[in-house]
Amino acid sequence: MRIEVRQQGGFAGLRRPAIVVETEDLEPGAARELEALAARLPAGGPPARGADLMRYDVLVDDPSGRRTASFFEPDVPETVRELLRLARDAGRRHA
Amino acid sequence: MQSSCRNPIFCVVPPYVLSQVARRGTEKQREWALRTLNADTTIRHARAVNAKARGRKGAVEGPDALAAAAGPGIRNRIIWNAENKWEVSGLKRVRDEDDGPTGDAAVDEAFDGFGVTWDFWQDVFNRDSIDDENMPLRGVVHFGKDYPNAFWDGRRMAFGDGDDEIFLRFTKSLDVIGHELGHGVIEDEAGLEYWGQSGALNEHFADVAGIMVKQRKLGQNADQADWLIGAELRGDEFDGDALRSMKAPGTAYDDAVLGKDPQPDHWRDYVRTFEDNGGVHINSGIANKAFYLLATNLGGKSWQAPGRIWYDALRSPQLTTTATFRQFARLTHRAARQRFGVGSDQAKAVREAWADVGVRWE
Repeated sequence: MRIEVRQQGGFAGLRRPAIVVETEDLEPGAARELEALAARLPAGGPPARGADLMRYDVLVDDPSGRRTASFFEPDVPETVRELLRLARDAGRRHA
Repeated sequence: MQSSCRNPIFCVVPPYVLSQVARRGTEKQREWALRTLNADTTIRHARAVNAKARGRKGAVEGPDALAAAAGPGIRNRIIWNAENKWEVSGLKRVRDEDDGPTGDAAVDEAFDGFGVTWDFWQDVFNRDSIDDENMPLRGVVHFGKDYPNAFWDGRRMAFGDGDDEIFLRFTKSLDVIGHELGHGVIEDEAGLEYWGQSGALNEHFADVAGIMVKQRKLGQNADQADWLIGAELRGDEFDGDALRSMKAPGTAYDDAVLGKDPQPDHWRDYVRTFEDNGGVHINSGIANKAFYLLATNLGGKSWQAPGRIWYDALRSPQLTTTATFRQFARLTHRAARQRFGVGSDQAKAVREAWADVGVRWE
């Protein structure tokens, strides 16, 4: 499974490069954990109101297909927060 | 129409008297008056009618109605501590209007910055808080962990602590606090959609609000000010002067991690992108430069003629939620003519400032 996460926006209009993780490159425990979170990726969606919100884009690509979702602070579900954290830890920078 | 007249005295005392009690009475009297005002649906009805009569979008509901009843112009600030959680509600309430300093720099900076900003809107534009209805200013500090951001979520402002290397805590800059509160005013008055040109105008006006708050606090004339946004947030590893420069968009930073300041300073360089909500923090530079040019060409204080013109344009019924730069520019020109005269220096300077950044409307 391939997972890409990307953080952008906020007050500074940040443009961070995407972090790309191939779960087959990870040790099995970490891979399973990430894959389980990615399999349960919620739908996400644009915020109703607000400004300067940080945005997190997630792309999940596996044999069953490709899914994307975007989340805006402060409405980032706990499972997504964990997925972002694990992906950042595991991922290599991909410019 | 429902009447909630269980205790006769609540119904005998007219709402405006209760408001006076709420404002001037002792602690006990205040509590009583506020409870009464809140219980009485008639005041809400009156507020709704007043709001309609004033051409506003609606009356204050719920807890804000209670606070609003405390009376116009009374500052009301509330700060919560997120304690590094990624939450904006259900948090520890750490400082209220009548409380003294806590010793937590982020709490006290947010509180003080809210106070300066509240006074700015009240004194300069006779605006009673974000919604002109005495809405409490709500702030959440220590949001998230190492979080390099401040945002407005439609109800409150949240401030991160930064990573301490590139960014320090976001309460350090008064212009950042003024910017976030500015988003509240913009949302309330104009509802500029946060995408593309209208989104860039939204960001632009928030920067204008923030910079005016800072310059007024410092007592600066337009030509004495640095016109930098977020200069105080810079950590040791931040390579640049600030996050944005209204004076010279595109020159604020050139950093190994953040890249180079992407702001254009002229319409011909407008950036078309799907990133950053269609470049809202990028293309705002064009309008920022126009405001800077106007303020320095006119001389004096940015929050006087230039700020008044911009605020008039924001409040114009003709400003749509999807306004373009050209439409907004035209409304600023119209506002200058209406307020200062058709052939006034101010109106001419507005036209010239927009023309200098390539925005023309006829």
